[in-house]
Amino acid sequence: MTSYNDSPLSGTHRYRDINKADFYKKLTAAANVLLYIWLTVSFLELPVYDFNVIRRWISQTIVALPMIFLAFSTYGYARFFIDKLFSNDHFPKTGIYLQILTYFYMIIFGSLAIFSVLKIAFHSAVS
Amino acid sequence: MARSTASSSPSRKTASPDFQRTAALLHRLTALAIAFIGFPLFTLWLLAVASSPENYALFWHYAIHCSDKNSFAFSVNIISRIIGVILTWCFFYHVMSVIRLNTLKRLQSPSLYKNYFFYSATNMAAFILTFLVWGIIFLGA
Repeated sequence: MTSYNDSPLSGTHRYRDINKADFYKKLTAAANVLLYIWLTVSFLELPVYDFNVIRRWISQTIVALPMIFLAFSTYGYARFFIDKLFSNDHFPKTGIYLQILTYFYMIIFGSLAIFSVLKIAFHSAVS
Repeated sequence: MARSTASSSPSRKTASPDFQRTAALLHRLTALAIAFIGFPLFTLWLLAVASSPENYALFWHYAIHCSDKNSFAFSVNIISRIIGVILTWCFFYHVMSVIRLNTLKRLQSPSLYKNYFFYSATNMAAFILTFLVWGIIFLGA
């Protein structure tokens, strides 16, 4: 028997999207906690913080990948907060502009962080 | 303006609206601080590492450590450390706040005592973890 639960006329899309958003929010929140704890502990474990040591440390795959995930999950989680903070209920006229502005801010800094990590990782691998 | 006396009833199971509003505001402010000040500073540090030893030395000189106590960089150092401590507290407060909210949501028998107890406990945990991290940093230095 064909199920019409997923059809556009079923009216369950909003409910399903809210559930999906809630799931991504929890996923990014859990990832943030784990990744920030990892970052703090592994950073405090470094013997010195000079340029070469830091560069060699970040260029390892086991450090570079979590750092890229960190950039993704930080702003992935912040996105939900921004949607709620600058919602149309609180800012009926300016909400959408504030959301766009903060989204650009997050995209710029997130991509800068990812670019830096990749540059360190690939440059160190080449040299 | 007359305040409602309903919120001070001994049978209520949730914190007062003022308390809830303040907790929610702190939760949002700490989130803003982490996402829009903390992470960009971390990105600047990553950019300095990715660019050159000179830029990393400049970042280190202004943001982390300057030996000359009469220089402008030394004043910037003090401010950056204060910002660092505040951002660390923001991070731990936010994490603890999320844990508190999720725990309170799942409680079978909510009470005002549990509400305030969780708030005090998570706040204390945030302070202790902040002192711990910065204690390790300063002792290590």
